[in-house]
Amino acid sequence: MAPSQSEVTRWCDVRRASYWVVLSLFLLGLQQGCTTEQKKAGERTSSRAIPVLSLSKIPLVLIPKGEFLMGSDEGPPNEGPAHKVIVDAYAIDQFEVTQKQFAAIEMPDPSQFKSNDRPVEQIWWINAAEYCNARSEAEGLEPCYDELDFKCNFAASGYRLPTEAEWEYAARAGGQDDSILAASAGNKIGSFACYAGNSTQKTELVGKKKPNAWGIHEMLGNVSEWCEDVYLPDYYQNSPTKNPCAGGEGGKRVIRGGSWKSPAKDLRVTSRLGRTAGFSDACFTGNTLGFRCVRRLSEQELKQLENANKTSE
Amino acid sequence: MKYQSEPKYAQTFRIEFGNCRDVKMLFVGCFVLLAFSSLVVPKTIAQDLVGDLKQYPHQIVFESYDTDNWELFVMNADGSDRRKLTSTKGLHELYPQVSPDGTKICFLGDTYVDGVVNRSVYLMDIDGSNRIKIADQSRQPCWSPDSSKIAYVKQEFKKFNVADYVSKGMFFYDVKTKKTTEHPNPAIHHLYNLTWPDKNWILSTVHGGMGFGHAIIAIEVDGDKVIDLKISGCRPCASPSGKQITWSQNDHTVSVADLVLNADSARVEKIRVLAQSKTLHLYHPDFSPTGDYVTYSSGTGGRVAASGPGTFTQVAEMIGVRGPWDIYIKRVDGHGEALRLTKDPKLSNKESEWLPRKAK
Repeated sequence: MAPSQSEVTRWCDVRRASYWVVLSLFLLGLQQGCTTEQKKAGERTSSRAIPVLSLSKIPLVLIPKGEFLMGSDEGPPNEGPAHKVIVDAYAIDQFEVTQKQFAAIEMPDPSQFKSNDRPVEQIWWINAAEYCNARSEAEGLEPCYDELDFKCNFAASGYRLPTEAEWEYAARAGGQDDSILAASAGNKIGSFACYAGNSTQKTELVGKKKPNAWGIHEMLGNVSEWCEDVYLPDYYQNSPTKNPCAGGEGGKRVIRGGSWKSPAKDLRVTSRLGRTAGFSDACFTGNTLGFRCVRRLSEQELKQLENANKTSE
Repeated sequence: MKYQSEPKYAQTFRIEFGNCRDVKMLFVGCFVLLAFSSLVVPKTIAQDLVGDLKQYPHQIVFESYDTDNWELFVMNADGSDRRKLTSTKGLHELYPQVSPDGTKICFLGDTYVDGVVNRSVYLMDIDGSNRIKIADQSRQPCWSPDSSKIAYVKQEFKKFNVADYVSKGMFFYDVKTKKTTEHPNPAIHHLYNLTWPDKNWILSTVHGGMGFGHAIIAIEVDGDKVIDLKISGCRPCASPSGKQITWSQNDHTVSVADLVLNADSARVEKIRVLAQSKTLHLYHPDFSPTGDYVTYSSGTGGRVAASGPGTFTQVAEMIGVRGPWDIYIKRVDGHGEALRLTKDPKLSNKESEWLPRKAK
């Protein structure tokens, strides 16, 4: 049974320890308040992926631990070889980070195409990481990034940028989403993505396109999304199987998913590019670059979530 | 094997100089020419510049980080006689802007109270006396050409952010009446580095605002016209005559161009590169009062860690970021090398402005 609003409020006081349980219950309690698009997303969501709201009421999707075949043997050399990857459970933003979310925590919004519900663009990798930290602090979580060298503490409880593997696992909906993969091969891509073939020469409001099977919107198109990894074209040749993430020194970070400016051929879940992260240049970046955040869950949070799901079933 | 490679070099040498009748004569000729030029032209171009600047009747005011505090300093045009213009603990003076009539300086002052940063616009006489605060939570001041008004922008959010474009709206402070008015264009958003070349136009960089991604624009002073000057880069500065503009075309290049302003139009013509560096960043260019020289700040790019009170972790071209930077000068006609005026980058010497010699 879903808790009353007062029960939810009381739960929220517990904060860290019961964080995700509260979120799950909170979502169930507030399902009526969801938009039509979010409901549709929920209907399409696989039983293995669970939509939740964060403490700052940002919709996320909990992705279970799993394995999938990452990359492609049929694309450009930097996409291969296709290889098995295992990722631990994590939560990923259901939508690209919006300008409203930036304003909510008084982060400077560099976007050219202004609107509350459009994705943030013109953002450097480092500024996306700064947002992750600010959002973590706003929710009482431990920030992941050192804001001098921007090394990521993966053990921290806060938000960060997705690794390439996390991004691709979510984009593929674990590999089970035939529709978006078919779409990315050229069929009906316009249903899932804002791209060069259907854009009005700018970004689209988030959530306007169909979600994938895990209920995640616009993994392809709208804005290309920054990932945590340093861009190494040949990384797949020797990357680890479990939770891979290319680190080390490198001025370029990975972007994924294509944008409103990309042709259909570039809107593939395996397509990967590198862009300058913005460590030195303060001004100049592109209006096609945005991002979404992830959080990795602790064992305790996962257990609590599992129990909460059993209760709700 | 090692020995066998040597004839190959010799072969290459012969090919390159194959058309010379007498290679030895060529070397001798060069040597004589060099020796002659060193006798006839004993001074280098940089030395010439030093000589010219010693006679130049204007001084330079700039920001510098000294003994855990940002202060404004003054030096002669050749870099000599560096001295403090301000000396205030608890207030960090930054970004000096000298009135065109040479009587006053407006600048930014940062204070820290209970961990909260407040950046304000201040005004004082040219000698540092009669200081007043004219606007709280504001930034990027510039003077009207007749020295009667100061334009500035307001900080966008209550919470301070060091990123220079985080601003909303434009305001005018009347120096005589001490009254403040708001610019009539409500769309003004995300401006930084204002410069006011004539009665009709204010120039500025805009980043992620007013429909622009990133641009240098001309904003009508008392209307809502906005014109894209269609030049890449940021931080424009108009010459005292209003006929030229200098700005950072990218991280590594300072350029100069002609500025053509009319009541209804604004455009830039004849762009030429003034200074470039493959490795260093070049920012904050500023014309000398006679328009003969441009000073600019230069140093390493990349994020710098906050190191001391009043400093922020960011790139050093931003206000309040302490980076290993110095101030340089170069002739506007591009002739000769740049001369480094400050020689202690650990003091983070930046944001130069020109003032008359009469400051004391």
